Amino acid sequence: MTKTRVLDAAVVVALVLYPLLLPGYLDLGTRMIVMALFAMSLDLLVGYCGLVTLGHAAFFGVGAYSAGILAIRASADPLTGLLAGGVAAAILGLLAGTVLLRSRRLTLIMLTLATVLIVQETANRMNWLTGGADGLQGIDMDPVLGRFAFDLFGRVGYVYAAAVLALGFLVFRAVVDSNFGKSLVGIRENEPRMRAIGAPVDTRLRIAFVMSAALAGIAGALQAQVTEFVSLNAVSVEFSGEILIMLILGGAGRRYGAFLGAPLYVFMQDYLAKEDPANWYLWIGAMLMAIVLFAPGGLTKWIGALVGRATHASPLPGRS
Amino acid sequence: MSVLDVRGLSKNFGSLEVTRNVSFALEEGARCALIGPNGAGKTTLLNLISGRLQPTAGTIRVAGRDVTRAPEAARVQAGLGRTFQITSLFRRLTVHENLALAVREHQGVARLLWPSRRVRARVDARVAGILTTLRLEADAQTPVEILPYGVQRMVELGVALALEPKLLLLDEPAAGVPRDDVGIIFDAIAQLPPSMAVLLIEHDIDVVFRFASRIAVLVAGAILVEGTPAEISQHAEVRALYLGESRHG
Ligand SMILES: Nc1ncnc2c1ncn2[C@@H]1O[C@H](COP(=O)(O)OP(=O)(O)OP(=O)(O)O)[C@@H](O)[C@H]1O
Ligand SMILES: [Mg+2]
Repeated sequence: MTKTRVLDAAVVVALVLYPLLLPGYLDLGTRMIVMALFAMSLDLLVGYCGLVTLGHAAFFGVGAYSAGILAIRASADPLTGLLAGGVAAAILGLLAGTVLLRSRRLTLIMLTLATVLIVQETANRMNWLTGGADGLQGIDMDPVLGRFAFDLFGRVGYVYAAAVLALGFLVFRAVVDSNFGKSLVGIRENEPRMRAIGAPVDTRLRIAFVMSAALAGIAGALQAQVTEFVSLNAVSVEFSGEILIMLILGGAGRRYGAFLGAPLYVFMQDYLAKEDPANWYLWIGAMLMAIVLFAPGGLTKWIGALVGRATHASPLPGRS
Repeated sequence: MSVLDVRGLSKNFGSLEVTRNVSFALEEGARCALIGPNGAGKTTLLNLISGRLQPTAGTIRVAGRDVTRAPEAARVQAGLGRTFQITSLFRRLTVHENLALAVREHQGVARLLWPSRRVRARVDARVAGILTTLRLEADAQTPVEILPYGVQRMVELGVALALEPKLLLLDEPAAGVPRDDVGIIFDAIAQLPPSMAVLLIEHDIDVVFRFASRIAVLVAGAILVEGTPAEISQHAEVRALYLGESRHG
């Protein structure tokens, strides 16, 4: 308990230190934060429920479009936009979850893939509303809380995103530490036995699915607000795959996976895209392969084991 | 009112009839054994009762409630608990957490997002009680997967007991356990609360005769005969079919 408390605090410290140490890279930091929030939402499904999805960008994208369209057409208040993005994604999550959660494993992966394709095509067709392939443009956000206007240097954007991530992490933490979260881990570890001890497995998974979708939608809304743009890529299969890679890099179901994997991926992407634009995807692939082969369980598990060895304590047992 | 009342239960897998028109009832506190050769359909019958499988025909009542079409959770709520022939635990989690998962479901607090200190204390107290009863205290914080198989079988039993069932279905609780450890498991079963109805599937005929006040013999999916141990031991067909080949399973 105390160890997790220290590490939880470390997350907050990192969020505070980043702009002080790298004031010239605030946009990059903000992107890391948004991806961390998105990966965290995915972790709830992949890491804690054991449900692998290749369509999570559907919820991110719906959140992003909702917040963006709301800002253009009705209210440009950031918090209202976040709420709208979360609610819209939650509704889609409720609908999709009801259908998708009848399946598991490969069938589920295929259905999630189909979901994101359908959502993307819908966004594409409704170009009068979404801007279609040109993207949603013309978003101009009001100041946060009516006081802090978004600036050119991205200072307010960073602080705003960091605050949303910190709050999101509080919720995530509460969920995974709760009885509900533990029952999700039970379902991940042995679904038939959970049924045999009387757990309403389908209801639990559906609730987790909606929570995860809502969190993804908030991440999407955040992205739309800080970049003032939404592209069709936000609802793509590629992006769904990328966020899964980020989570696996960091380690799924291990609480901090999103916080390690997402920033590392975003950094590599940014660095390699500059240094070796032709081959950067190859490097990402090599990195992923290295993780899967040499540090299964992701960086969190690997680092945990290293620290364990260094302090002569036993390495972390299993996941969670 | 019977704790379990099964009428005309049948199950087909395609053209294979695995359960044929099975009827029987268990009263409160019953100690019943279900015996029969390998592949007779014992596990299938138990899966039908617990709701893991849907019957082709027949009805199942648990504590008076018709649960024939009910999901597994509803049967657990009606008072049913079971163990598995092949250990089915949360292998990477500790013994304590394995039991706690079941206790939380039983106490109705498993879905809580903000469990209070009191709720958590009540779960821990109950888990501690089960650990003591089954003498598992020393292994409480050990992940199940690294425990000896005999201890895993005790945890398997503990997870079912955590539900405080009125009706407990045990599918070969000592299957795969080294000879020396079998005794501990059946000692624990002998000490189950007297009001609990227990249906035990078991191949060791000595254990069956010591444990059961009634025995049902299942052959090729149908109940061949049902009666007291004395009646069963006198039954010519059973002797020929089953007791003759006592080195079973
Ligand atoms: N899902 C299934 N699909 C098809 N056939 C099955 C299925 N489950 C069990 N069977 C068959 O049903 C028959 C009864 O199996 P069951 O496991 O119930 O027997 P059992 O009495 O428990 O045997 P054992 O003593 O070996 O545990 C077997 O012939 C088995 O092959
Ligand atoms: Mg069997």
